Amino acid sequence: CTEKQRRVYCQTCGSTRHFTDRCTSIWRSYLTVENANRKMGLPTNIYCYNCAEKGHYGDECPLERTSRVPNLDGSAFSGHNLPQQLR
Amino acid sequence: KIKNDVPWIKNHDHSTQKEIADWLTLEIKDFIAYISPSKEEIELRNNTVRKLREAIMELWPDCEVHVFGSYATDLYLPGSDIDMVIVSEHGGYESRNSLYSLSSFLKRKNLAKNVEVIAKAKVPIIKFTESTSNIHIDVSFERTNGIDAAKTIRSWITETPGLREIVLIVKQFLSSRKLNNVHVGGLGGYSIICLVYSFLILHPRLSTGNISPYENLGVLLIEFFELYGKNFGYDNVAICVEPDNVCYLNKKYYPDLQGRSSFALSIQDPSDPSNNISRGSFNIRDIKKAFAGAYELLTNGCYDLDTATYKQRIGKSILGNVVRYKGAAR
Repeated sequence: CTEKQRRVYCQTCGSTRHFTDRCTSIWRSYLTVENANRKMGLPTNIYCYNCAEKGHYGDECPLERTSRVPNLDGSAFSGHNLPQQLR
Repeated sequence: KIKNDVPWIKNHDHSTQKEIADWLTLEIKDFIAYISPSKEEIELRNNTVRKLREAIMELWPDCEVHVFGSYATDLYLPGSDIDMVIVSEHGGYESRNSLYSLSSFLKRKNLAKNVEVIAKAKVPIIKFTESTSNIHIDVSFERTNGIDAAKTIRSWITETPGLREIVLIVKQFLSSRKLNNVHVGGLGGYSIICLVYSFLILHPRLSTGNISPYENLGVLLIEFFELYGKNFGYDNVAICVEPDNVCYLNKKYYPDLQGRSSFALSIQDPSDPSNNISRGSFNIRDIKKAFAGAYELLTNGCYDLDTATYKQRIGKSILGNVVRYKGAAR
């Protein structure tokens, strides 16, 4: 079986956890608002889904994850998902 | 594996969309248009409410009859019931006597069939089917919290585009899985609204104004299921939806919001901080599992269609795997 010997690698995002045809970028694509140049500050309502602390998103929580469902490829609630100029 | 016989697809094919997320967004809009009530259905509901209100006022001229719940917030699906509440200055209409006198009055006037009086419950109600419209009605007594909640929800809906659409999809999803009945630990309408509202307000792209929700319903729906199906820390985190302060609270510091089990959904009632709106939803384990399942179904649908040829895509539905609409054809 050749399937098993294929190394897991995504050509879209470089991840070694999924193949190109299972990349979250296939559906996690946003239609952004036109005037993206206007000044934007960091949102004041950044809260952690894992520990409820203010100031970081759940994907970056320093505490142990409480949900037993794995989050391998990152979620919407990550600092990486902020608009480009705020990351 | 991908559904292709769902009714809202008829004459609305999006298989040539370049971005799968846009396809899903358009399908969500089609589904919302499909299940939204027609002019006749709206009139039937309004007339039913008017007729009942007039009759009740005839029996008890000193009372006020209000509607709340999904009818009052415009978040009802076909077949949803109508919630009414009777309030009065003297507050005396919750007595067992008045419950029975109203129920026999409605029967005598031929307004109600299948009448059930539930007098012993914490919230006594009368349930019946209105005779001409066949709409299910729940009448409760002397409680204003439902009216207040409807007011809050209406203001959220006007301020938060996308809220109504995602709530209706999640409602339909949970009702098709029989996970929407609070009496058996399911998720009630108000809790669903709070989950979606909190999600939209805290979303990194929405809170920065980087995207408009209405054009991104597809990805937002998947991310809703991703948050509450995979990542949300039900053990530690409570949801707060106070006006101007939508945030998370650490349950450790809010003993009122802790349930009997540590794995529980906690939503602080904006009009009573010591009340947990979702305390009845004890079956959160299955609800979380169902959300995770919806995430898998939607994302797998996206992956499959992304690699499919245009010919294979024609007439296919992404949403059909998740929202099963079983009602009468519309």
